[in-house]
Amino acid sequence: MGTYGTGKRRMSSRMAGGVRLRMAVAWSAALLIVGWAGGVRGQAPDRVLSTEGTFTGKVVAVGIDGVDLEERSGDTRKIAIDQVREVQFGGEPQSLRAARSLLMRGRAADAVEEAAKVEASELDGAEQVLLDELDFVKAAAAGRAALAAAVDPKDAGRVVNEFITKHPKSHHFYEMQELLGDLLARAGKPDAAASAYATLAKGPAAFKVRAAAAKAGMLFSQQKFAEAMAEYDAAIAIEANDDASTAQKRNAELGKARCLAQLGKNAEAVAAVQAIVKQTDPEEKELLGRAYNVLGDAYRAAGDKDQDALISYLTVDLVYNGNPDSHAEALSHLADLWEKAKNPERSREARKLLQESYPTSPWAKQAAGGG
Amino acid sequence: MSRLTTTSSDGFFRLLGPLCSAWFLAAAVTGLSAAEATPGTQEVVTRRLLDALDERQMPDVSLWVLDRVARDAGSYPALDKEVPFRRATALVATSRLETDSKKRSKILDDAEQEIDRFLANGPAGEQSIAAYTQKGNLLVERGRSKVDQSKRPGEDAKSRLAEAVGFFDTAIKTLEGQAKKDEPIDVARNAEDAVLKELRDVDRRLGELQGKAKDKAADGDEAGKSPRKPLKPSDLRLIEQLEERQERLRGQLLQTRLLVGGAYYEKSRALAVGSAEWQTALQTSAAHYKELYDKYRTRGVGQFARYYQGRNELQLAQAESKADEKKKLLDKALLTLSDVRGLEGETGFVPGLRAKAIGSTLEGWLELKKYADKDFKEFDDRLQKIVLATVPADRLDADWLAMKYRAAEWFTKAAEAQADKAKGRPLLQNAKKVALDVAKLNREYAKEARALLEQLGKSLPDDDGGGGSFDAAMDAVRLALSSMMEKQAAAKQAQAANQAAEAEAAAKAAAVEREKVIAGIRRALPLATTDDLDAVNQARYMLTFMLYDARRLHDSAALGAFLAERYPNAKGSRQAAKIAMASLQQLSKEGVPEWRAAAKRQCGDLAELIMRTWPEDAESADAAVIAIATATEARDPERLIQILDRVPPSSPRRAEVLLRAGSALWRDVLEKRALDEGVRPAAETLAGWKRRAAAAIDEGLAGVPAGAPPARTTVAAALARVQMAIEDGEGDLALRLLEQPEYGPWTLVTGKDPAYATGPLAESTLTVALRYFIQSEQIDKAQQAMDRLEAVAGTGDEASAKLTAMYLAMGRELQGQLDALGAGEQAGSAAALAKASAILAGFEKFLDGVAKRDPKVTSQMWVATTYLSLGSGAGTGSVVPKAKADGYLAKAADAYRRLLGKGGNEIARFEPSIRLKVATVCRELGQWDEAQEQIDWILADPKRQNSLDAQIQAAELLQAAGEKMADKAKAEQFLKEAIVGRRRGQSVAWGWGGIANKLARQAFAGNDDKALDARGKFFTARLNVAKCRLKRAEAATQEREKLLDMAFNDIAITYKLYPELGGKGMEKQFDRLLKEIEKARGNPAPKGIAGLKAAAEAAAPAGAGT
Repeated sequence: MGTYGTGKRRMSSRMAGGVRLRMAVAWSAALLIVGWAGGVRGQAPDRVLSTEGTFTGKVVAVGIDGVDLEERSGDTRKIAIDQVREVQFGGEPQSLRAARSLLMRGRAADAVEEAAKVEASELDGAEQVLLDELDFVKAAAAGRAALAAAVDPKDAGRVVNEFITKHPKSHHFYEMQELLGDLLARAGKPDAAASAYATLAKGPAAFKVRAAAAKAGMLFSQQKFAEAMAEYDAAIAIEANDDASTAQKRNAELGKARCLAQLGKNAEAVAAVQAIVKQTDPEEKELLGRAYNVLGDAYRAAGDKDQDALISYLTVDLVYNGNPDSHAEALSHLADLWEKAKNPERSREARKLLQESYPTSPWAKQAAGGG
Repeated sequence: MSRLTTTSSDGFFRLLGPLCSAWFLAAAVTGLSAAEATPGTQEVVTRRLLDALDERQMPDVSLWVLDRVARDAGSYPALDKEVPFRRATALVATSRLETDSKKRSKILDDAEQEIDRFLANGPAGEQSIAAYTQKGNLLVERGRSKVDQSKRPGEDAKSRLAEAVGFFDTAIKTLEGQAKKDEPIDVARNAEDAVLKELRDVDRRLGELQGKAKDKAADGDEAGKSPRKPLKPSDLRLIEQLEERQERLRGQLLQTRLLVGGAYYEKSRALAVGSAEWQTALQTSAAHYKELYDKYRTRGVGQFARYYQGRNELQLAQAESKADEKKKLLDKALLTLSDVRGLEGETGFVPGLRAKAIGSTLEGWLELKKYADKDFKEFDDRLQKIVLATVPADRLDADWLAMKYRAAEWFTKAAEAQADKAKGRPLLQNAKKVALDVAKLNREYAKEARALLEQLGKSLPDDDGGGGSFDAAMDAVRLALSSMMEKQAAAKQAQAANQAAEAEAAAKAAAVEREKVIAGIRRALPLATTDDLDAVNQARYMLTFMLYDARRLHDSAALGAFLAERYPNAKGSRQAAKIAMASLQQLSKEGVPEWRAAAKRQCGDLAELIMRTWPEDAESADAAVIAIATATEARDPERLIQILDRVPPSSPRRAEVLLRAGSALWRDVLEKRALDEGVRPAAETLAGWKRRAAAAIDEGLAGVPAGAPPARTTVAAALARVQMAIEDGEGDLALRLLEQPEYGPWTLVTGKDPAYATGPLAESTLTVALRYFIQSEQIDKAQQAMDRLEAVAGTGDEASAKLTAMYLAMGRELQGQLDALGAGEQAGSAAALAKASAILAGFEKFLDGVAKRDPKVTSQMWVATTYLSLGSGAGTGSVVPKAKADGYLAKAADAYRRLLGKGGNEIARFEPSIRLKVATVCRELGQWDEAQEQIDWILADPKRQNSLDAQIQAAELLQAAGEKMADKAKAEQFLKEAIVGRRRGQSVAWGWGGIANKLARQAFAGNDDKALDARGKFFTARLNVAKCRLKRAEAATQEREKLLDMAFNDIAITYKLYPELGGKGMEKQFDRLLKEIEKARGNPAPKGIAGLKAAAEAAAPAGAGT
């Protein structure tokens, strides 16, 4: 594995009790070197959850291109950023971990609340990487909550931007660039958003796919469906076959199917989603949740396939309901479709669940407005 | 065994409901069919969805998903095979929501077929167990349902019970094992054998694995040197899994055997008590239970089996007529029951099961009169303590209540048996206590307990609905309901026996109980929680019916409509909607007059809601008929078409609905065609409606069953179609329909059935037939039609007027036919002209012939009237040249004048109507003075001054004269008189203003045809007042503005008083006129009626309408 990034920052020992500094391994010229052992996070090992599995040890360096983990054997494992799913620090406060977990499960508003529970005393003497992590969770949660609730993204955008400026070497750098792009797109600043996505595209191949897909998503929300589809095609065409890129490409394919449905090519959209479903592991819940929503949209757009649409949205509601945004979207459609199918009881039930479970969701607001 | 604790006779067969979701777990363990291939994502997701749908009780959606799986054959390799079984499970669940017994039966038939289809594929293992068990349960449920049905009044109990026995026999065959002990089971054909087969297989595999372990252990021991080799972890895991499965299968085997015993018992309930078959069924059931008890006496299932055995033995004993034998059998049953009533413990299933056993035991002891036996000690302190114990209301189920009631009986009898009354007192106290426990709950045995309490001198006040829960309150309702039904039955019986007083008393008592039911439900509803939704909706349905029964129709309609709209899928909502519709129908006919129109409208709306919600059901077909009636009355063709579009092909009354709607649509076409050009729908629209009407009638007529007696709807529709065919020049079709042997209007009007030989339908038939026969030059038949018309008109004083009206109607139709030829795309075409010319030639020939050969006044009147129609049609100009039209009018005038000149008594009777016609002819010809003279002659007679037709003619004449007169002063005079009327000698004309005033009261007195007719004329009069005013203003040299203001106010005031302005068509006419007035007042952007509306809203007080 080569070097990550360009900057280098060595961590001195800032732990309570002044534990001795251990030098990071020499190869890591570009990493943010993390102090370790003893003190607050000396009790439990760090864990890096990746597409290759979960690894435990000590995170000795983080950077925009990856994470270095010193394993029990003393060897250092380099985990590229496009493979990293989550980094859990052994000594991090429980609320921080819970907030990050909520954030990853799409429950951004809950993550904001949970992150606020982290007591100052819990961070006494904590090393910088933990303080940075808390900054990240707070900023990302604020950003995602603003996107989910469809409120003015200005404040959240500012917080996210501050994080990027303050932590240009964070392993969350690309993720936050994407979030910044999404917020700028929502704020009606497509050029600035495109610039953020362009930064994201500087990352590894999977991020290039992601950047193109994010740009396509922006075009989609501007109802420029043909252009969005072209952008999704571009994302799919990027030459990269690693697992992370393949996963991102499947998202892009799903985005393309959404465009097809919006462009009235419903049969093609249905076929595309069905192909994606076939290729996807049944446990990829988030992707499948979104896929079945797109399938429902395509059936619904066909005009005479409401029953198939209901089945698709019910699949999200009853099987893949872990992601709040997908679930809220499905419930909103179910409320409409059940009404249309002369089943007002189920319609009310879906609407009630939507309002009670996701009161700030734009889907809930839309459903409340509609009836 | 915990599931068994809930086993009551009602819930018994639902315990083993859907088993399908469990079998794949087992299949995975045992390497059965599901492990054949790794399923794809789509299949995994679908399976998860189906399981979730099961859990959420959405069987209807499960059926959709399964249909899709079946459609995409091959995409779901493993799931494909399960489809029939899953369908069956979903169908059974769906059937529980179906209230229509026939439909429910059909669904269950389908479910059974699906299970059979599944079984035909030879499922193995868990699938086979689940399928046979489910089928057995299904059949038992169906049998029970038949037994319940047999108890309903009016049912053929014998047939229902025979059907029930059939179901039970098949259930037994499906559940009961046939394999003997140690006999191998190659293919299981029933649930018990299916379980056994699996169990033996698991036993064998376990034996092999455990044997391997023993062998290894033995090897190690014998060698004494080499260390013992442990089993592989995979083998250990397998042993663990197989042991779990073995345990589960053993449980399943016991449950299946319990079910077999239960099925025999249920069968006995469908047989005559004491019959040989009944005895066999009960004995077999008891034998099965005994076997279970003997094998598993230490387990819960054994104890349950023991109780059921005792219960069966008790029933056998109770039916025995020989005293000695009876005693022997009772002793045997009581001995069996003693094992269960002696159970100790206060947890799990024990208290409930023991209560059952004590209740049955007390029944036996009462039968044996043990209470009279001084030495009898078995109903000891322990048992007495149990029956006297205060038990929370929610635990007091039917079994507990039975036990307590039997105990009350026991204590009472025991007290009575005491020679020393003092010794009997504590027993009576006990009796009262337990009877009170039962009575106050108002559930099972409450009635009997109340009677006992009364006998003991302690009566209870009417219960106010039990405890504070919804369920308790509804229990009270059910009690009142059964009491109400009893009293209703008593009233019927008394009525049948001609005991009027008793019948009345019973009916009054039933009404009192009904009020209790209504009050009870109203008390219960606020106590419900969200979990009670299904029960709440059923209570609402019950309340809807009770309110209807109590003639509280508004309340019933509101509640029924609420259920239909908000909870259309709840059990009973469909019936509630039907009741609501019936309530609204009655309100629209018999309710407060002011509310009838609203009720009619609501009824139409509800009917459409029913059609949308339950399109395939019989209720929808009834609703369609009502919706059509409402739309017909509202003169709303678009709505009629919408209704037509919604009638499903499978609707049981589709043909009737199509015929009704088609006829109504055609009537609308005819009416709307006659409107003024500005408000008349576009020719294409009218043509479209006509096409739709023709298509509907054609399809409807094709759906009329051959050989069925003709319905008036069918005949009327056929006649409407004849009219269309005549108009379209489809002579063959017209003739074919007129003379169709079963429902042909001409066939019937000339037939023997008096119902079709007279009345409005006969009159319409004859005028249409006459027109057709004249046009097709079938002179004999035309003459026959004329003769019949005269016969239909009768011979009384009103005969001439009636005949004239019929001739006028025919003339109007003829006019309409010519108008239609002169309109639309064909207007002015050579074909249209040729067609018109042929029609006119036919008529001329016939009329001239009649004029010459038939001197009868009526015939001559007809000739004159028809010529008048042909000459005066406003829209016939393009097909009837002006010169020809004037010629017809001249012929009409000559004919009328000849009649007047003829004199005599008969003419004297017709004179007013002849003069009215002459006035019309003169008006058409612009001969104003003569027209005026004729009118004045008519209106000089005070009696005739009240003739609305004459007054309208007079006003029309004055208005037409004013509009056409070149002399401005004369025109002004005529127009003024057209508004305010005039007096000339004895003649009094009211004018449009007077006509409107005279009609105002009648026009808004109700919604009957007379009132509606008056309403139409009232608005026409008001419209003409404003028209005349505008004309005056246009011609005026002074006071123009004032006249325009007055014209504006004429409409504004009409709108203010009657904002509906007589319906859409009339409103359009007012709107057009108002805009003209506004333009004349100098308003470049006239707003018409919309302006009046906006002004009215702006003037409304703040907050109004919120």
